[in-house]
Amino acid sequence: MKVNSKIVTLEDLNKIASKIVQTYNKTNKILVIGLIGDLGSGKTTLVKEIAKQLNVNQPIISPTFIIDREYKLKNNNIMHHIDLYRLETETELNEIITEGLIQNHNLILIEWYDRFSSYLDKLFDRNDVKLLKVYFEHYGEFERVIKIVYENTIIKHKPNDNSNQ
Amino acid sequence: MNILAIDTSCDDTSVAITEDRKLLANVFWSKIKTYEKWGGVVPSEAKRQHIEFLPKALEKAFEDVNAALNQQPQSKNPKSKFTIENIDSIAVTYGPGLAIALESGIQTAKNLAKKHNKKLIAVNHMIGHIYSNLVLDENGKSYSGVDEFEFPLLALTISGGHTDLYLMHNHFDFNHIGYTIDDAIGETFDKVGRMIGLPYPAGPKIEKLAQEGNEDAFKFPRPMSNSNDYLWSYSGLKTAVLYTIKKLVDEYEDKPQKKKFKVEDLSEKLTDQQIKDIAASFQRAAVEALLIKVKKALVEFNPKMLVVGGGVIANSYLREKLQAECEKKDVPLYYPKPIWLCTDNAAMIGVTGYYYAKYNKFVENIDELDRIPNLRI
Repeated sequence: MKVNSKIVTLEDLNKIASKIVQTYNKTNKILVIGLIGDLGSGKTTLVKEIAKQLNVNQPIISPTFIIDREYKLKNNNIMHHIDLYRLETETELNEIITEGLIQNHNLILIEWYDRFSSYLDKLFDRNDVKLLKVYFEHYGEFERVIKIVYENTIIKHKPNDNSNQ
Repeated sequence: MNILAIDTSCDDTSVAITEDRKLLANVFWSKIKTYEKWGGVVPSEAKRQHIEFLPKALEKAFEDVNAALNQQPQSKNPKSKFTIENIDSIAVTYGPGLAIALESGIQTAKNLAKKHNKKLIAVNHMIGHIYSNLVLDENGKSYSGVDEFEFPLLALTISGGHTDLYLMHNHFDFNHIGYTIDDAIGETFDKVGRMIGLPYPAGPKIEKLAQEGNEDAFKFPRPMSNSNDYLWSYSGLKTAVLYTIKKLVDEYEDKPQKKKFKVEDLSEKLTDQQIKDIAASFQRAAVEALLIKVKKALVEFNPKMLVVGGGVIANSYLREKLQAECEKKDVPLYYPKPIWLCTDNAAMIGVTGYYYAKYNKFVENIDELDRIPNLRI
């Protein structure tokens, strides 16, 4: 696994967003990004920056109450901004993260991914999905520690899987 | 005009039957049992099981109408039943909301409309919240005190998921002049509540705690107060409260604090009074931030009335401050008195549907109706 961890300010966030956007543009898989961090640690702020770089021209408002917000991307792809903050059971999760969502060259950003990590890790353990996790920690009023973990499918390599990263 | 209305915009499954503006039946299938008068509430562990709950909710709605009819002293024909044949149109929320939830309602509505050859009305949920102020009870009495909309009017929708301001010059003539660029006001109450250790749903508990707190104890920012627009931003207020809590906690520790911290560890170190003071100061900041723009709009647009929709109107501190602002400008303030009519419900969808029908806004091609989760006015 590749792990990058650094102390960042708001200004640096656009560089992190940029890396993620590059990953999205380079892969032909569905890109799922787990956003893991406390209240106020910067999850939605990063999503706003990613959306900006993908030319989404609608305001990115918090999905906490609505749970899943969709935004159109180029080529009819969809960016799903999902927030698991209010979900309590796997049954509820099942209703939201459906097969239909995990299709096409979609970008799926999931805040509070850690509320259902083991379920989601299993769900996204498939050849057509690239999973990436971003961890946020408070470090001061204007600073955060951000760690990006690329869940490398090579580690869970299955026989006869020749897919490229 | 009798309308059968369905709302499955997010958490709750709700069905209503309306006759013009009058509410005849109102059924909720929801996890939180809070509604007393309308007997169709069933507490359930499951949320959003719309497809499963809808048939039962529909059945209950017709049962309730029939029960009410049979109680009338001069029922013309005790054996005649009120059924879907007595319904003129089906109204359903098609957005905004959670896509997967909206789909259940839409699918059911389409099937009913086609099977029984009824017209279909696709209702915007936010317009529903505004028009919740026009719902009448079964005796024709207004739940909000509004007789008719008088234009121009300002409409404010404040809930867990929305903070919006609209200017209306006529029915269906909307100007979406204000909105939050990040977090909704209701959501912010909830999250700050969590920061001070309250369990979800924390929002309503803040108001209670604030009553025993000092609202001058902390000076939190009123974001966007100087921007020359009607936009709000609550995310900065949320973080300001968080870092104030962190500083408070640091002051009580002997050793220099580690910079990294977890939010849930902080609230344990606060005293009861500090928690109350934070609740009070936060509430004051959140409400003032809201009112700064409302005041501005009252002055600029000089409306005939201000109508409010959405569950945050349940906060009495907010209501009093809003009432005071409106009185200063001599603008009447209206909002539905029962909380169930302020939160998500099908009753408002039915009455809104009645207005859609008056303006001939029916779905032309039923098969093509699709949910629009990001629908705006």
